[in-house]
Amino acid sequence: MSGTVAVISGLSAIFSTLALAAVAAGLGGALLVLAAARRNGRWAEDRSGTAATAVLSGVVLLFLVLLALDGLGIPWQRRTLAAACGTAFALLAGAAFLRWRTGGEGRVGLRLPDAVGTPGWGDLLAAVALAVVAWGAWTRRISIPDFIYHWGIKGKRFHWAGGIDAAYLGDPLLPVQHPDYPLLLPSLYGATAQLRGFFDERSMLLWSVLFLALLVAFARSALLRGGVRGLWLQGGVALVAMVVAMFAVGYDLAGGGDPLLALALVAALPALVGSTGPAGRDGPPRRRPEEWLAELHRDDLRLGMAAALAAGAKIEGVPLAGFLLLARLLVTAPVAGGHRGAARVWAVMGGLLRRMPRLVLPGVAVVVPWMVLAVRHDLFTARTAGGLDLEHLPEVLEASLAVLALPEWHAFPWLLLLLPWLLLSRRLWAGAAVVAAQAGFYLYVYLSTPVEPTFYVLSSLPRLVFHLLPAVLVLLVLRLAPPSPESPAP
Amino acid sequence: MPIPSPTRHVRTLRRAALAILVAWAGWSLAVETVRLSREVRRPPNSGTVAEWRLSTPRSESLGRFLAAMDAALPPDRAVAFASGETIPGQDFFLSLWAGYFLPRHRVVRYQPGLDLDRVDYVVVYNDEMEDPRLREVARHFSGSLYEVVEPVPTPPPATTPPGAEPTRQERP
Repeated sequence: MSGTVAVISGLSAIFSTLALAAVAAGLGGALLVLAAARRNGRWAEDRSGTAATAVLSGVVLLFLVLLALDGLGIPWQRRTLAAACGTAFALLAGAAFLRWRTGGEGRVGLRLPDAVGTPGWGDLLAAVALAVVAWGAWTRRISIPDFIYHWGIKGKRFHWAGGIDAAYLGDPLLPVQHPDYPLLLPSLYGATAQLRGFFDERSMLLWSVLFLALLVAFARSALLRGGVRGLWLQGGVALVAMVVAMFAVGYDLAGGGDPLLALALVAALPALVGSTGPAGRDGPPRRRPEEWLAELHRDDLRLGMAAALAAGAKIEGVPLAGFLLLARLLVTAPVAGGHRGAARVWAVMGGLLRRMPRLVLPGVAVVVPWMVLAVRHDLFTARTAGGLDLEHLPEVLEASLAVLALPEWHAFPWLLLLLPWLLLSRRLWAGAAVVAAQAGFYLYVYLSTPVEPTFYVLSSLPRLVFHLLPAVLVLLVLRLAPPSPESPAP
Repeated sequence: MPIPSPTRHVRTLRRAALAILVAWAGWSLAVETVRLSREVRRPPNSGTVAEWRLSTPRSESLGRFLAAMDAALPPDRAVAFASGETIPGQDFFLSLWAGYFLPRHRVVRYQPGLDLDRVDYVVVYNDEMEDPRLREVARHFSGSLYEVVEPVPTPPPATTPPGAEPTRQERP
């Protein structure tokens, strides 16, 4: 291939992914505007966190659009995708406008997020780290083997079939791995291939780079939410970015669903860190009730979308979504100020009902179609998990220690042992509890598997650790950093 | 010299912890980047199929072979994939790679005793295959594509009615 052709081909590959990401950002942005149209009118946080929320929400919405097209029997093609996404955008934007117009006296104009946390050396190091991952993905050198065994092959098939080919997934003759897995990532690959015109592996692997970039943006947002500034902010951002890049490159993670789970967990952290009620549980009132309520609804939506992303990415994302929602409800147990007794109970329940659409609806919209499809086409593989067998515990622990010492991990997983210390923090316990619960789920799976556990642990735990460690790093920096005047003590 | 307060000690220790973590992460990333650079310049060409990656020369060789075979295949066919792979268990991973390179088709692993009625074609990579039910339709220096045909019915042996002269074939 001549130089000019290679450059044009490369730019086209990049354009396909970025164009679809821009479509997702547009959909997500319209949703955020709709959500903020009546209250306060601003996602009052850093700009990178707002942009990352828009893209994450948009990826979920884009998947729902693809599901809708498939459900209606409309093939995935460039013009049908353009029409469907355009319709979805128009509906969201129209609803946002109507909501704003009917806001009455309380409506305010939309304002841009604050420029919080000046970019510094940590952001530069993060950019370099992500560039290394991008290089590895571009050269296809860090593609995960599972990209061949199921993520990529499903995406190729969906592209060729113009939609979700459930009959192919359910064919018992075929050795396609994990036919029962959720379909967000292969669907994204299929749509990207439609845009590109063919299945270009570079375009697909670039999605992993984008997901890791979003993870770093959310890590930054969580640190800012926790009141971290200056040296600690820059150090935290650099630490998270370099560790995720190190493992993504060292263990070949591009193209698989593991970056999505790590992203979902870190994306939820700003909604789990240091939430307080309008009366300021930790001290005198710091914000007006309407400001606190606006933040509550914004964070509910962000966490709901993060949970939906997790549930749509991998099967282990479904319990993670559940843990995120439970932690969110516990950490934001509504403060029914002024009510007592039965009136307080009604106020709490009413508050929960009002919050359910933002918290639960995205996950339900992602999971239900997948479950219906999987049951109808008999996609669930026979996971003949027996009950908990504690006799496997020594083998599981021994194999886990081997994973902690894996050369590609450079000893960072040992930081997971600091979880109990993080759980003791009044501000951080919710995030740490989600990590602990998910780790407990993985342990349960290993102890109840009918297959020999050692190989199972050695082949999967390194990637499962990747789901948890970025969030632990963010929580660790929040724990170590000195409290700022705006945030409560750890 | 005044003794530093415990709070200052703790702050210093915490900053040191952050600095150590950041430095260690930077060093680790540098190590992995150097390894990546080496492998990009010279992709590893050894190891088992389970260690293949997209840029591995052997996987690319398989991809080129299957692209040539795909050109001779009608769409959406059941294709059995066979190979000369001798390491136990690696033929399974090869069949997964074959499925990846032939997404328009339903690719199954060829195993001895496979019921040929369940597939339309057989692709053989780095090996040869002889079977009366296989008709070669495409050939590549890395292998061949065979179409599964109906078995040719064997004519029944000729028999002499009782009392009649045996035919020329039947005479001892």
